Amino acid sequence: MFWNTNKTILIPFVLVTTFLFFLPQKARAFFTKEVFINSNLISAGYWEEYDFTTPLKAGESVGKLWLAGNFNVLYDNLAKDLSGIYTKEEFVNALKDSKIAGFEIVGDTVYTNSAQAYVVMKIRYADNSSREYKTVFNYEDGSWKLLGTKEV
Amino acid sequence: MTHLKYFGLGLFLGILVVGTVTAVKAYLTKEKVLGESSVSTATLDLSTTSQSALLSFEGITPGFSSGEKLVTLKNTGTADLKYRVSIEPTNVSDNNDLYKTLEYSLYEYDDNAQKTKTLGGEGALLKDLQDIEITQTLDSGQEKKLGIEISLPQEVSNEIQGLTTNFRIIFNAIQEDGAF
Repeated sequence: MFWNTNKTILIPFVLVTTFLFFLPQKARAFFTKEVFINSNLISAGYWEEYDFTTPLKAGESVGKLWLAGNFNVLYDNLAKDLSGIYTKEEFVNALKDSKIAGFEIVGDTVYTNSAQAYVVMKIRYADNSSREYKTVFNYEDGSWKLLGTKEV
Repeated sequence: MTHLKYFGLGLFLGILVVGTVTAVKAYLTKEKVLGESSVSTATLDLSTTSQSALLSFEGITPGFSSGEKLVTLKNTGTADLKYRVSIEPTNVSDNNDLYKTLEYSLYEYDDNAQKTKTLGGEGALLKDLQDIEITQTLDSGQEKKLGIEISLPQEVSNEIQGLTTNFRIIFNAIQEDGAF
């Protein structure tokens, strides 16, 4: 009688009580300990030479890096005014999908002043379309660093 | 009807008295000490000789091998233990293409410092070094070495040039008769 009238409450009560009572005991059945060795660091070097000693060679290197999708190295060769805007991660993420099919340098180097020059790069895309970009370099710390590109 | 009431009252009082006596008797006990017994829990603890920067190398190139780096693990608790090893990138950004390209080998040693087993090897990716159970157990107070080597395969993409990754090595110990 008592069971029949109260089983709606009794069944979940018994289940919940049993579950709450036994689960923590099961979860703590064994002693455990975690130990860490932190601060392991691996950095990759550079094994392909990229020449940034002249604006023309720098333009070739930018094209090769862009073609290879190697934006990590490209970031390391940005002018300070550009690298100061982005972290490497932001820069790589922003460009990782901008793959190109080929490139060529059009014309000669144009020097704006002794510390700035540009070359025009013709970029070919996967759909065989192409665009030309004025690619500007700043002379910093002994090499020509990419300041930016602008479509011409 | 009145008799029945009294019977019921008597029965109730009887139960009350017996119940009270029983309850009181429960407290009126005598203790006899037969000898001291004690129960204490074991302790489970593990220490490592290298606590940081066991694997730190800069400017690595394709074909790189760290060589075997030894870590000594000591059971500093009172319970015998077994353990497993995992690797985890320190931050989300450390889970990059360099991290995903690195390979590993693990070398187990017995208590006579004899190499007994090699895990991983060529093609075994560091990122897959997760919950690898080490065969060599550690009794209380015992110490054994574990060798770790990482390498960068010869055939890797140029895109990982200049990348850096940080990670930690995790030793997860449990009492020897336990289950992970």
